Amino acid sequence: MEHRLSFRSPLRPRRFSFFASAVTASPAAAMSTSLALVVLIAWVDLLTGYEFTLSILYFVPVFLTTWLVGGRAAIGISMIATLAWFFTDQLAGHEYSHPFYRYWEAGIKLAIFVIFAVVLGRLKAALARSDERLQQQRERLEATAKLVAVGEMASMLAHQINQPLSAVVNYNRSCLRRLRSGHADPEQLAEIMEQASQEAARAGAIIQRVREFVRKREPDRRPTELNSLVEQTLSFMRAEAAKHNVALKFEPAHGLPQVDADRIMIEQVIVNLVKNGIEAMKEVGWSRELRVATALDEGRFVRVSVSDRGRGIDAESAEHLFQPFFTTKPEGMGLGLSVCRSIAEFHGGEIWATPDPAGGVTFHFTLPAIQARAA
Amino acid sequence: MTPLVHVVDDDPGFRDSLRSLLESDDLAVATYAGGADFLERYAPEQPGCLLVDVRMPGMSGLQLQDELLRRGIRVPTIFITAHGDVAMAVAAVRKGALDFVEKPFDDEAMIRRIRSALDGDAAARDASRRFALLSAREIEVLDRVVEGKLNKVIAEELCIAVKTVEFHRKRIMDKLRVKTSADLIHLVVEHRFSGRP
Repeated sequence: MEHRLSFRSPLRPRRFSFFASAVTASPAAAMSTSLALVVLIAWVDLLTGYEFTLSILYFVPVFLTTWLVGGRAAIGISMIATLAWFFTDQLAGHEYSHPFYRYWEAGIKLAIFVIFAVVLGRLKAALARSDERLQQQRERLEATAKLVAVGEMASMLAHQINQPLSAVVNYNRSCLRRLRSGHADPEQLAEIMEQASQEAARAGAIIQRVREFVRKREPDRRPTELNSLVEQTLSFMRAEAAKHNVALKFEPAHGLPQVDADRIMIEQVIVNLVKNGIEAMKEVGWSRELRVATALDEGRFVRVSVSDRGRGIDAESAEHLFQPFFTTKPEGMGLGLSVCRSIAEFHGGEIWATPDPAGGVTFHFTLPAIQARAA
Repeated sequence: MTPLVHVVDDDPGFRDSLRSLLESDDLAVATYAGGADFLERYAPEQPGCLLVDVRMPGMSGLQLQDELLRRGIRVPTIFITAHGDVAMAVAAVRKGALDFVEKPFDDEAMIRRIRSALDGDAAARDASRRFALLSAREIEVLDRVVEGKLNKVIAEELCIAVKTVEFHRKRIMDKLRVKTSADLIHLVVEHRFSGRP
């Protein structure tokens, strides 16, 4: 999640001066800066007289507006700039052989400003598209890298555990053969079984090491307002939802007790469920709506429910839904929901799915409330 | 000499467990921590077979096989692997490996394989010894017999009497302890295929 938030395309300038950052802070700031610039240029142009032409400087506000506000605003600024030039020119006492030429000059200026704004707007849109493609590519790459890493780890683990287990099998067979042959020496059998136990212990130690490795990050549980946590997590999923034309709705229950939770872990659960929900509705043409709700569950738990309007889950898949490495997605790893379950259970809560009669699925997870208040 | 089963595996636990298993069937076992260790201690005159792990740090099982081929050492080889890798198995068997077995394996089947490898080794060694008894002239005659030439043709080529060719053939059959020409051809083909001297 963090990489998504901090991700910045290399195409965008990274360093802004203090002034520039104030201008780019909001469209309104950019707009008013552009207007101020137009006025300033017109005033200086008037002071310096018509022979010393400054009209080319009007490109600066047009550029600012196109880049930071949008095409329509840029056309507006172009008109204002042209008008400003027109009156300045007139006030400065620029004489034309025919009054029509002033209008002609103004028309040419307006056309150039507008063409400039349109071309620049196109360029900006193209840059944004390539940005998005870059990010998608990066996400796919990261997903593949993760998949490879998990596969590599699983294969290494399988190899490492297979060694001692094969040795245990060999020792056991060795004992059996000696016993069946009828001339077994108890001393020798004891020694072989001792070795078999050592190998079994070695397999156990390998698993122990893996567990320690996996649990490197100590969970940090604190009293947490679940509603605000959900709200915050959904705020960075909105862009993703909008991209897939999914309306993301949050229906918080009020007066919920706090829960003892690790924010990052719970965020992970919500992100996984929301992403799954969005993906489930990929092929649904109508009412793509993802509802997230909170509620008090049996007075002692706080429940979060994520409902999609997708195709639902068949009975067979439902059985394996939370098992690791089970997936219905072509590029999925099958770890998302199993991680969610681990997190919910770690917090002393539960996770389950219920089919929606109207189509779609609702995933629920619960977290124990810190002090149960009567609902 | 009692045949020796050579076990090459970098994992001491697995190595020792295999020794225990094979010794329960009265096989003599020698264990090695790696390919280099094996190459240093291996005595070619001792009959036996080789069980080698495919994946080992340093010299892998396949590299050991290459090195043995390079040195002209023929020892029946069974590869053991933790994960079935078809490409690897094909490469190993092409270069003359007897078998490719996945860990953990069935003890009965493994011991049967080892026994048959040892039998094969003994037969090949015996054949080598018998071929070594042949004189240079007898080898010339044998080569032509294998090519399917008639005694008359052989006699002409070597400028000797047909009777003498018949005499050589008889001696060859005696030395190689075969009764019929078909057995003779079979023995020669098998021996040459095994690549032994």
